[in-house]
Amino acid sequence: MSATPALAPKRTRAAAPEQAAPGRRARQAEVARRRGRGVAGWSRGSRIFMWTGLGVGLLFYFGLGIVPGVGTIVVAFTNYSAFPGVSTNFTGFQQFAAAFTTEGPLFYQSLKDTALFVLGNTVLTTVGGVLLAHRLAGARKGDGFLRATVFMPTVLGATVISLMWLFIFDPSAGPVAALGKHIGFSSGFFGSPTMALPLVVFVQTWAGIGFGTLIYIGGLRAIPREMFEAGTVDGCGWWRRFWLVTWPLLAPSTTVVVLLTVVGSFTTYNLIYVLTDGQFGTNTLGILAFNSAFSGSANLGYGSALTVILFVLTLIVAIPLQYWLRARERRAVD
Amino acid sequence: MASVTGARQRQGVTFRWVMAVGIVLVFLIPLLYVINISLETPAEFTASPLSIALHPQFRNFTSAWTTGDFGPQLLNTTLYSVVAGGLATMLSLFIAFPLARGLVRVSEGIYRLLLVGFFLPIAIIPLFIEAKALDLYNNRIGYILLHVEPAIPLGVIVLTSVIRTLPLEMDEAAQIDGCPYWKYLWSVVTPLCAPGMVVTFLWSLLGVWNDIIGPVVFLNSPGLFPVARGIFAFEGDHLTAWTLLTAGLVIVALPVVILFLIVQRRIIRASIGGAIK
Amino acid sequence: MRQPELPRHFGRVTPRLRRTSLIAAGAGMALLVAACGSNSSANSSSGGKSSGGKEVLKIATWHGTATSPFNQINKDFMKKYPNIKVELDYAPDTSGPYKTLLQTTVDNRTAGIVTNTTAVNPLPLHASRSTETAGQFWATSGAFISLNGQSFLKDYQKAALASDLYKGQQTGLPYTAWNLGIFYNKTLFKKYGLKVPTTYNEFIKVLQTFKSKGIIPLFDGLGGVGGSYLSFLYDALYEDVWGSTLPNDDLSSALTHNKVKWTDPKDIQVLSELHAVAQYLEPGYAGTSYTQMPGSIASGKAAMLLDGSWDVGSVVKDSKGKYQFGYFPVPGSNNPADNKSVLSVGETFNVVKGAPSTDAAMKWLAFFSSPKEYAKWIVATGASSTEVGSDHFPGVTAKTMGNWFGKGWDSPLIEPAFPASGSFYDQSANWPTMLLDVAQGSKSPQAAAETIQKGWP
Repeated sequence: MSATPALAPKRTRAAAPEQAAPGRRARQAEVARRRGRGVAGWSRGSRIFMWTGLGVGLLFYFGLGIVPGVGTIVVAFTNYSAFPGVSTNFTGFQQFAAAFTTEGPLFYQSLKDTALFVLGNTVLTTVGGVLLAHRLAGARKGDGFLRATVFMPTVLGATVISLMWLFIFDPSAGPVAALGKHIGFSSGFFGSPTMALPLVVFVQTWAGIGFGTLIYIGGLRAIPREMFEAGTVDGCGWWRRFWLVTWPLLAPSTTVVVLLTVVGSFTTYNLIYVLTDGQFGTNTLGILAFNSAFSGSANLGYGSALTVILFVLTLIVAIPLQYWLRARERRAVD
Repeated sequence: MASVTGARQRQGVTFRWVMAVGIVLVFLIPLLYVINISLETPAEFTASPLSIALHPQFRNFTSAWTTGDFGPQLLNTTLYSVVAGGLATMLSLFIAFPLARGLVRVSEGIYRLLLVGFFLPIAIIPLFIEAKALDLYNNRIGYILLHVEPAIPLGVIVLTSVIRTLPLEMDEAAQIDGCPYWKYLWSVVTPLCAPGMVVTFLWSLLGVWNDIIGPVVFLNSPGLFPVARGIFAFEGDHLTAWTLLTAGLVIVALPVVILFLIVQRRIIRASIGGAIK
Repeated sequence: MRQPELPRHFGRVTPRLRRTSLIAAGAGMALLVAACGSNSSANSSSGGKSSGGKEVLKIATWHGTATSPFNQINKDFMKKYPNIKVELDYAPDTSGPYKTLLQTTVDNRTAGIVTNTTAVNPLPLHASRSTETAGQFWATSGAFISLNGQSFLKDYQKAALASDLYKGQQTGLPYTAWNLGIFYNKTLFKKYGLKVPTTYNEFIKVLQTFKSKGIIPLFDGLGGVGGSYLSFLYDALYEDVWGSTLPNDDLSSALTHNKVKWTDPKDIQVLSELHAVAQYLEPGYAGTSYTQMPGSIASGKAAMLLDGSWDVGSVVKDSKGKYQFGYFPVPGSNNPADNKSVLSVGETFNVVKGAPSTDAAMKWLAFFSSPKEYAKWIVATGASSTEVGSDHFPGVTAKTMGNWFGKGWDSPLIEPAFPASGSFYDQSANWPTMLLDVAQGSKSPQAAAETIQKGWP
């Protein structure tokens, strides 16, 4: 490859027209011939590079993304133990059946915890997101600072966030406990069967509400000013204006926020892992599946089965939800 | 009429103030509190958890730094995140360009395959199997390789949409001028896709930086731990040494917070649109 | 043909500069990864020879009070065997991360020695992959090298070794026993004129007295370890109330072979007593970190501590001579003869088959078992010994516990072998949670007993 920049000023080119012109014109003619034949426009070396790059990329994606994803479904039909030397057998639907029979009470409890967790997280994120967006959509002094504050938790990471809140809510040494002592309130907080799940929902929302708020800010900014004016003129109170004008117009944002939060709440478990490890009523399907597979287990088939059940459950909830939300959007347009 | 507007204005101002206070209380105070405790002596904290560090001292930080293994762990974390992020971004580009230009016959199929990636069950158990089989378990290279893939679907989707906006004539100009493909990507496409590539890189970096499940499942030796795993173990070892713990948390959170403060303005502005109505 | 608009900076940085910077960056990255990679393959290998020519023995275990004696023994070992380097893969305690560490270590054979929290026995009645715990599964599937014929076995009591015997093979080395029960503040007892209770009713009276004086009667901390830390209470109650009425005091076998049922009135009595005593624990005990347990009694905040003898050293140290401490077993029955102390034999060293450096592992075990090193371990950790002829050790724990040191009823005879999978309340992880519910009052003893019985195979 020549060291001359391809776009050298015409002057340089003209300096050696005999050598440069034929080469360049020849290539120009080549390209004109090959135009419309896509990849053939590139030289052979380039094509090899392109194919290799594409191949390696797809290899990563396929080998470490698709194959394991599908692999979970396969392992769920076996009694894989991860232990070398021990045979793995095909067990049919046994692992799935186990969830509903021998593991029944734990599994059903987990379903309940999951439902509460997903519901709590989604409602809090949606309501909180809209509320925050109303405050943060502007461009006045301080709005940028507040926006950054709300968005910061999303980058802090599960470990830092969890350890911080575990400290703040420590039942004996923490500040909340100290405050509580003054008013005669005490609780095990993350160790209490009644308070652990609400606190976990709170932390999960706290960690992720930045995204929802940003989406709603985008949605608010997309609403033309005239719509806001219309509500004001009629002498409506702020609630009516919100409920009849703003909220329907935010339907597309709501669709995104609700869907993302629902699906995210079903599948996430890293915050719960550090906060309570699924104890005290926070045993969602996600953390249950993880612990069944990795908490000193020789039965990863069961963990996989739980993961598949979780996946199916997510689809069962998310797909109709999406239809309903989209229909809502269409209705809102009227 | 005036009184209605006046009342509404007052409502607006009240709302702004209440919300501002609320946001600071819920999102900022907890972080400041942790920093506050990290500056206190254990005696001050035991006296009252609600105390404020009137005589801030940095002893806890030096103590945490030497007791925990944060130096090597930060190096580990940086290595894992930057290399995995770089690889992910690069590979995303390598996939995205041929896809966007339709240079591969099954481009449509590949694109759909990429979307499928978002709709699969959690894959950690088979990844554990693969790690065992391919010797990716408990070593640095393996850990990095295991963390490249998650950002690829997002990266490809973002980059294909950006590349599609680049004129085909640019490709042809490069072909005519004998510019090789890799050079073209590096010199022309990358600068034009910079925002998309930065987003992919940061997304991947953040994912690897904060991952706690990965180190727990795929790493055994304390020497390989990233800070996420390290601070978790540190907490277990020093469960009641609160001033030490909070110092550790500050040390671990600081790099990400600094990075965030640098890039947040542009990223937030980019995601919510520039002009204000 | 139209020249398209190209980025303005295209011309400023020459291609040569761009090319060199690209190559430099790539080479730098490659070098960095390779350097760290080769470092890691030396550090992270499952033992074997490292680049320094030394053999590396990795031991997977947890921290806690045993850290410094462990490190001391390792230092002495490395002095004796300069060619072997001992490294620890560890977690702070025996909760989630350690269980994962143990599992991934055994699955990948990355450590020569692993520390198991429980012994192989008792095995469930119909031992199969779905009823065994992971530890039992590994032991019965040949994960561990048999220790038969090793010279150091003769140092250990046969009864202790029996807990890790499977099909005639010694699958592991049970190296520690702990007393579980109540550690009490002698000074406070004397102050209020209280005697050590030997019956249940006396015990309740003592608890009531302290409560009326504004002192926390009983302290326990489940935070970070979960419901199993209530076993200091319920194991003793089970043994005192129920087990002592059975042949050989073997409640475990009786339950496993369905000779008695969980709905037996004696079980209801145990659960009721559990609930009653738990009311005297400090508020919020389920979330209080277990690390606060020694300090609570050392400071005089609590009068009694439910714990294992591993914490005695910390208690005495933290108290700085202000108080005197003693031990008595939890009295669950009103017949003093029934009330026995609980001894927990479980912590086991296993040598992982297929890991490199298993020879070094055997050397290490032999070194550890030598009476001199073992004595250091016992004195430092306060453990009750499983070795022969070592009933009496100097040290703070023996002194505190007096006659109870090293004596007691083996806990494997109390709790039956819970299947690793099965009805919720029978899994060894969830049974403690169920009992915690009873203690906290969210489940009645009758309801709990019925649920357990319903799921019992």
